[in-house]
Amino acid sequence: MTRPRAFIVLLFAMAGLAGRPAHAQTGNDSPLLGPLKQNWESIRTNVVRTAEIVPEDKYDFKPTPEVRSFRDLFVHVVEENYFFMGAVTGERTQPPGNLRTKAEIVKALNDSYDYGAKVLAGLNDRTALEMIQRGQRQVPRWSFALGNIVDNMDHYGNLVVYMRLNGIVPPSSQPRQPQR
Amino acid sequence: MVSAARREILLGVAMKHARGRFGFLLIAMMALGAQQLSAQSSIAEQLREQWTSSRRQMVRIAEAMPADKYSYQATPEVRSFGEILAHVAGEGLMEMEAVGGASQPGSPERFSSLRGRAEIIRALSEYFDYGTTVLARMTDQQALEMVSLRSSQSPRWIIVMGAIGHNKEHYGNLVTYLRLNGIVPP
Repeated sequence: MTRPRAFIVLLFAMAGLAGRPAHAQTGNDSPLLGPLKQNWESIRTNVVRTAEIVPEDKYDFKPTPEVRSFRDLFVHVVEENYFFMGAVTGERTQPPGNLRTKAEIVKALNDSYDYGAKVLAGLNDRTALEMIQRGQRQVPRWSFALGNIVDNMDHYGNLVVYMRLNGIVPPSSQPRQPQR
Repeated sequence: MVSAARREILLGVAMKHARGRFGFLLIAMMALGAQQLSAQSSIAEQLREQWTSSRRQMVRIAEAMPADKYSYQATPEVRSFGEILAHVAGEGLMEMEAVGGASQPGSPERFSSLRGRAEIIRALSEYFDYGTTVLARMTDQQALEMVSLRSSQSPRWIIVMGAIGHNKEHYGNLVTYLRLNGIVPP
């Protein structure tokens, strides 16, 4: 249950420095959008790596009968990525349905993070902070991306325990020795 | 909406710095400006919302686990329920101290020897109280300013976001720990 936080923070810091591109996409980004995109890529790496390293015959594993399986969690993340990032732009892109095999799920996850990256690439500081309607309230566009990342973190936290229960070291703990 | 408490904090900050001839004017401007702060704030206000919701969630899950299950761990090599909470509070508090401008942020391990449910919940409250105070007075401009953390520079907002994301990632662990103990998460 550890994660390479120092590394992530370093990436954010690099992205925030003007003229010091840490990533092709974020080279000229502001201190708002640069770190936001890095955060998106970081959670993407952890979730997609998880889908890749969990063996396909474990996809139906669930720690207790009433909760989501690995597969259910991956499909849920795909759906929420389209939902939240669609809300940033106001368009509604339908997530792919009927995902069954590991190959289909890994592809759908990658496609959903690509979609999010495209949405974020289309923002500038002005449009990111533009107020739009959410129910009865006005919220800035970028708040949906924030919500998306936070929700992804929650589900990644579920996946980490699922992996440990199957003797798999989570991708966020792999660069270092397992720590307590 | 700006709460009375937040207005008082802002006024307090203004008075502290009101030494010169423009002091009174500054206080008057802050008092008026504070009314508008939330409405104009698209970054800090989002952080405050996420913070409040994360706090509620973490405290509720900490309270949902019985004291004798705080030592429960899903597998031998990972943190126990109580150790996860102490880790979240210690690391998060250090990060929020960096955001708040503390000259020497404390150790992220400061709570790691705690074992009892009551003392761990107190540590969690200390962390969230501190963060709430730091965020209460933050403007969008301050949210985008770079501060030092772990020998590198990052905008304040992404450190706050990192702390919230870290809370949430471990909340995801704790939910599954509860389920494994037959407890429905709050």
